[in-house]
Amino acid sequence: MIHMNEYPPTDKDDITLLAPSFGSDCDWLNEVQAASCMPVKDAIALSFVKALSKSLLDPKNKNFPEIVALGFWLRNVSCPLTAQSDAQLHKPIGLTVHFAPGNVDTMFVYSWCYGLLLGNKNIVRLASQVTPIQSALINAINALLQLPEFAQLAARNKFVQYPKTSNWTARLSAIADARVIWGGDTSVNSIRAYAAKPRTRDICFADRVSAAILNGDELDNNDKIAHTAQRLLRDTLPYDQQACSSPRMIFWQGSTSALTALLESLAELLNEQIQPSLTRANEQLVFSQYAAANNGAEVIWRGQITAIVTQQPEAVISQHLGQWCFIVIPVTQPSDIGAYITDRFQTLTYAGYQSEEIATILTAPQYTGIDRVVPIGEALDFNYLWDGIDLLSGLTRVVNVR
Amino acid sequence: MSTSTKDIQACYQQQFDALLSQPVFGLDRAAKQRLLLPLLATLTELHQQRCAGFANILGSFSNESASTIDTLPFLAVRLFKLMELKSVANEDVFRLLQSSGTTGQTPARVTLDKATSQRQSKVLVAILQQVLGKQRLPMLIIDAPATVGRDAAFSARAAGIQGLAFFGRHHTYALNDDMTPNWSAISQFCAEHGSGPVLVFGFTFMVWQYWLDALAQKNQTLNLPHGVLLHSGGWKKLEHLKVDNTAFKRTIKDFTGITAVHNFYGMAEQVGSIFMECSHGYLHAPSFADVVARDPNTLRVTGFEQQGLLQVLSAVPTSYPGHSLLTEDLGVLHGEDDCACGWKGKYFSVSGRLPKVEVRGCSDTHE
Repeated sequence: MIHMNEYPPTDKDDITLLAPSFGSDCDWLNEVQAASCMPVKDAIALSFVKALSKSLLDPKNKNFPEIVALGFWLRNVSCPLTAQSDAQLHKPIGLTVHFAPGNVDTMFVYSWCYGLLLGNKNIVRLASQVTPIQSALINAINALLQLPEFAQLAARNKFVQYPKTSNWTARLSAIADARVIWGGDTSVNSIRAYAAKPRTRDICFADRVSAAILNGDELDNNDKIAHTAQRLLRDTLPYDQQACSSPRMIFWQGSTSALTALLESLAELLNEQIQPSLTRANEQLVFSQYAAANNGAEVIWRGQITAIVTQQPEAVISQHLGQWCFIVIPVTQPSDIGAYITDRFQTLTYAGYQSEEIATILTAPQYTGIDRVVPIGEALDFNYLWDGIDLLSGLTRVVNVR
Repeated sequence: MSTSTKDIQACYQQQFDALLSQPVFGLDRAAKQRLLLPLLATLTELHQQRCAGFANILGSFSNESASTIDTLPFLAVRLFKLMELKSVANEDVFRLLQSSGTTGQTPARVTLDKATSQRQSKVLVAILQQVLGKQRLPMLIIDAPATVGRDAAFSARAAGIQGLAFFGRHHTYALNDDMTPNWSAISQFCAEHGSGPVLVFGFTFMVWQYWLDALAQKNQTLNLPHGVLLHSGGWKKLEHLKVDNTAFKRTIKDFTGITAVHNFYGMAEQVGSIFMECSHGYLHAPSFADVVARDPNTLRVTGFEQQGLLQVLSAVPTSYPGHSLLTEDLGVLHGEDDCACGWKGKYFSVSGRLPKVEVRGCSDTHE
């Protein structure tokens, strides 16, 4: 085990400082450790976020919808916390190390943005795989950090890349006051296995699955069906339905004919958006045959998308690889979803219901899953309340003054 | 066993024996329709009765009895990696064959009973005799003894070597356990047997990477003018070296003198009924097997010279529902019954693997 002051040996050649890209001669790690935190929602941080948003919304990024989405998100970022409220002071927690996910290129900015706004010092470890989106984001951040007005931020926010096998995860873990760990379960566990300070907070985002609950009885005309299909597409398109908050299961209350109409409409919309893919068609076949063989699931739709009907989604969801396979679970009333709630269950998107109806169900103490209930079409809208965690309180320390 | 199950078994046996008495590469389309189609339909029925998972999958296919081979139901081959699918009782399991699988992947698990295992050998013998003749030949194996050693996992490579070893004698391993050439064993083999017919066997990338490359580096040639080289395992690992069949054959000839080179295409999920390369460089479906290419988007049958996902059909397996499988290999059917080599049946080439799913979203990330 690692002692507090005995850092595991790390090799400087192992790590690349991506941003700030200037003055790399100076010891960036000492610099960030020696600096004090900034106040919560400091004017400099707010103006940086505004400037970054503007830079990302530049027309040159229009071919990267993820970057544009991030630009809009930053423009209106929701951070309802002030440095002082009632008899409480809110202070940053210290040095936050973000272990960003490799497959969602923009995620590191969402994660870091809260660390920044809350006054923390941040080290962001980016995935080793360099992608065009990652480079564009790092370039935008670098351009801003070079400006004299953001010098204080440049000293306190570092973006790095290093191989998984290096000792840097151990080194950074040993100095972190908070670790924000984006998983896979395996990644989360492997990073948490590195020793941290006794009071280090771990904020972990592990593997989750999500579902939609749709009231088919409300979908009584073509416009409503098309609108619902459009929203469902919005929730599944960005990461080929693999994002943890994209619905893979559909709880369906209503007639088979309305369901068929919805799936048909969704398949048509998808056709307009993406090219047919050899791999996707095969994945859909593999998944539907697996589901059929495993628990007798019935394939009810095959085409650009695949839909199967089963009462035992748990038996097959582990083999679900996105790719527009929908696991349909017929229900007769919203409370029927209770039987399917596990602690892996993250987001429930809904259409044709009132949010209160759903919330009432979830108050039952036996349900350990579902952390988000949002209207259909908003599954991927990131927010400081995520996975049942409040990032604002997670990345701050509260001083109780009486 | 119910009477009807017994009937099916007897019916299958009769159909299989009828097939076994036919010329291996001499069945034309009409003969296959008459002899192979009803056998495959019998296998569908047999596995439907004995394997619940398979029966469930059949629900998504038409109930009508197949009128042509390409209308038979098929399973996605990956299912054997994801779950156990077998059509025999546990006490009748004779061997569990595991495919090597690509690195990091779960291997396929194929359940064999004695009858299926024996049938695999019988069919393999019949097919290989078409290119090797009936004599057992001195055999040079382009692999290391450790691959099939006592501690070795029962991998597809080991299975392949063991299966082929039956066709040789004086088995000589050309590689040491560290995959370097065993030069003294190789020279001794050539000195003793090189003037006559010999069998050389190895997996395609092993032959290229550890044998031909070593010969080239040492600037050494061998002289096996009457040798037959059988190789299999796909070109995937050689893709980055831009080695194609023509270059492969030319290099073999330059460095070993071997001109009879036969690639074959087969898989752990259908051991026995392999597809053999003819003298004109095409893979042929033997009497025991057939091949269909399907449009990967619609799964409809594609025409000749159009790339598709390969579906392979085999008369062999009764212990697991693997008689009709949709592979993840892309290939092109070039024709049927009219290959210039004289062999009947569909002839085709394999063009590569279906690209893997790109992992996106928030799952495993710490790369």
